[in-house]
Amino acid sequence: MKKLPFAVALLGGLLSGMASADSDTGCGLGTMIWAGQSGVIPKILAVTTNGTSGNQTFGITTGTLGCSPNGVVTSKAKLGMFTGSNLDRLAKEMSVGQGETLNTLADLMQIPATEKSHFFALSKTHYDQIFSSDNRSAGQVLGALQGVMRADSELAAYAG
Amino acid sequence: MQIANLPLTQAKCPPQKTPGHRRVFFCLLLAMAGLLLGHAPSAYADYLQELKTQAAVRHLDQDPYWWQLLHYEKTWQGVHSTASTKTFFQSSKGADDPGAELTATLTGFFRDFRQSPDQSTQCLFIARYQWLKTQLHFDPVRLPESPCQEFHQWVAAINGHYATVIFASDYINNPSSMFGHTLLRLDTDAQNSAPLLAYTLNFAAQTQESNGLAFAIKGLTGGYPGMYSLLPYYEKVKEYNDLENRDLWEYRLDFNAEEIERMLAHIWEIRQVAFPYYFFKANCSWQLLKLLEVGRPSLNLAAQFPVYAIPADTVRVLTRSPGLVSRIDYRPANGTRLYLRVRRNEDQTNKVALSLTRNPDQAISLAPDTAARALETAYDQLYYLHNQGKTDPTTDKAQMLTLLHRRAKLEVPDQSETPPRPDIDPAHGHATAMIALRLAEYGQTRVSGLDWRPAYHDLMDPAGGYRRGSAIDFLHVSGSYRASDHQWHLDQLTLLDIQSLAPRNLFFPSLSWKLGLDAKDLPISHGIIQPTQSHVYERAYAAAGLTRSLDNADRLLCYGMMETQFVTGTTSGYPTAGLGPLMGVNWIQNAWTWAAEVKTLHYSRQWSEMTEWQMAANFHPDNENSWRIGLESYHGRGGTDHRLQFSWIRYF
Repeated sequence: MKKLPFAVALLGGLLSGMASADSDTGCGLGTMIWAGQSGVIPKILAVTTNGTSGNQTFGITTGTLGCSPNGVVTSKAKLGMFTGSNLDRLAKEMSVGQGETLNTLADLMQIPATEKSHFFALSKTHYDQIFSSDNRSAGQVLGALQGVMRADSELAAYAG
Repeated sequence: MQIANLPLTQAKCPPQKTPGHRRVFFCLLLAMAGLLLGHAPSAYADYLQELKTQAAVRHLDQDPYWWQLLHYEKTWQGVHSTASTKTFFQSSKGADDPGAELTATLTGFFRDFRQSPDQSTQCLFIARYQWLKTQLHFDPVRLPESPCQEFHQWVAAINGHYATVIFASDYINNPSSMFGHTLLRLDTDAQNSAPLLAYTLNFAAQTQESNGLAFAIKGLTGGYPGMYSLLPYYEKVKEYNDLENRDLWEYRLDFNAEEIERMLAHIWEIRQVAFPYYFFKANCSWQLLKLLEVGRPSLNLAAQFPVYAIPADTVRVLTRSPGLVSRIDYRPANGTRLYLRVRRNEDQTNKVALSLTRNPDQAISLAPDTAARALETAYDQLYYLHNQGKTDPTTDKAQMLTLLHRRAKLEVPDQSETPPRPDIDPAHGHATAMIALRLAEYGQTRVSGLDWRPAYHDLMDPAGGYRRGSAIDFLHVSGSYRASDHQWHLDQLTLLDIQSLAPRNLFFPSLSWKLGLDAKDLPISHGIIQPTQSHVYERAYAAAGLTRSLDNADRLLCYGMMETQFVTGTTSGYPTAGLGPLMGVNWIQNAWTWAAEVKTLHYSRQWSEMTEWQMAANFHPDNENSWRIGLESYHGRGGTDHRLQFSWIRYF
């Protein structure tokens, strides 16, 4: 590990302290939007193995160990893992008010079918609040979404 | 092997002073207590021996299912398991000796598991345990059964009752990815109501590199360990559909609950086991077929691929097994969706979308519907480029967010359309191997020829199920018997020919390219066109340029490239290098494909300038046959030579 100059390390410490109060970055909630995936640049010779780089355990890769023992996502981690992995799609689908991923998110939050269209409309109306900056983590997005839901009489029950 | 040592194993009879009948009674009581509290090791040993004998008598170690579970393959030396992880075997000889492994496995079942039941042999190798239990009818009193809670919880969490084979098609502009990739998804319900959450099994090589020659070589020679991983389907959809822009095809199998349970039990056994990954033979698709055979032993799929297993072909055999595939679903990639979107938008919408990608805050004066379309297109375009690393990382995220914010403010429903499912899915396209009979006229000579090609697809073959404009020709051998000298000649041996004619537009700035290595019989001698003195030259070539689609369905493509060629085998003994432009057109019209290409290369040394014309027409009555007529003309110093050929091509 590189040794940072003391000043930089100090500054880093200050900044991270100043960051959002939401410090729950486990099980996918630390994923940033439009983070992409490393090592997936298509090249001619790269297709010989359809390989995965790095040491991958049977379950999901680094950063989410413990959230999916033996590959299966624990029920506690499900919402966070899903949101973290699908942040790009959720950003897109919430902006248009529909989509498969958004629908699955509603299922994970146990929103009944009758309330779904209200959920889609509500998240679209409060889009600015939910995706307030391009530097958002999945945890922050989920927190904002749940905050919006809590303020709504019909969806407050599902805000978790 | 140590057999369980349980407490209170010896029933002891009381000492001499107790009266006779009471002594007998006490002995019996203690013996019963001994039985209740624990078994004598000798009782275990007896039952184990009994089971071993039964297994030997019934030759269970030679049972095909035992070989499936242990991944044994016949080799010229005998038998060997393809699993390389030592802990997969209970016997030190287990990798080569099915009998020793069976005996050691049975012995393992008797080990005391009470300290950690989930780590017992019975649970770690639950598929073996379940199979041997049904074969040998284990007595639970004489062989206590471990509860295997961890395994059952895992199975319950997966909640998989249906099996679907997923086929990932190719990347845009990368024909070698046409071979594809297969995965297995375990669906919860028949209607597939929440497929994103279903768990997907993937077999892939574990590599440190992601590119380069070392990567290619290791992939071909088993240099990487291949391992299974289990991930929610949304992870795979993101990887293939969104990040790599590969269409996904979902082939639902008619496997029942019992078959799925068998597969799950085996997956539990092999989840940390490595198998050397061979790109051609023991790849993701071959492993998947082997796994399906564990679920349904009556399937005989993997054996149909003794030398190489092309993923698309493995899906083909599934569809050819009557009733096995019950439905096929299509999940288009982001790139495919964007392509359709751009095509369907009005020009004005596309113009605005393009300028929004450069300046997302720009004011737009369009009707809300149209504005929404422009914003959505602009976002999709930026996202597409972002995933290819073609955007400016310091500004792209802010730009994408601006577009989404603007879109969210419009009270307009989603303007995207789902691309229609292509008529022909990859498993129903023409088969990848080809054999052909040819009749031709070379100059004044009649020839009869024979062609063979193990893989894959060229620009004249029926395009259904394949990406338009992508072609790979691999180990294509072409020979003919010539009337001029009553001899067989090699007309052409193509080691590799890859072409990617990727239609280019403002949203898809793809470069078209071609490269190849072959040996070809040309009517050239001493740099002069001499039909009667043709011989074989070795060539390496590469070309790059652009392709335009001239209609709205990519049926008519025209392309222009610059080609460079390196030729050896010339009569002078010196190699020659050429450079020049080429132009071509390729047109699909129902069952007909028409093509024409011309190139003029300027060579060094003797050859000077050579112009080559190629024209061809292909008619395919179905996906098994093609009738093709082709003309090749060579113009250079010394004149012209024409080669006209007529072929009947059979795909198999």
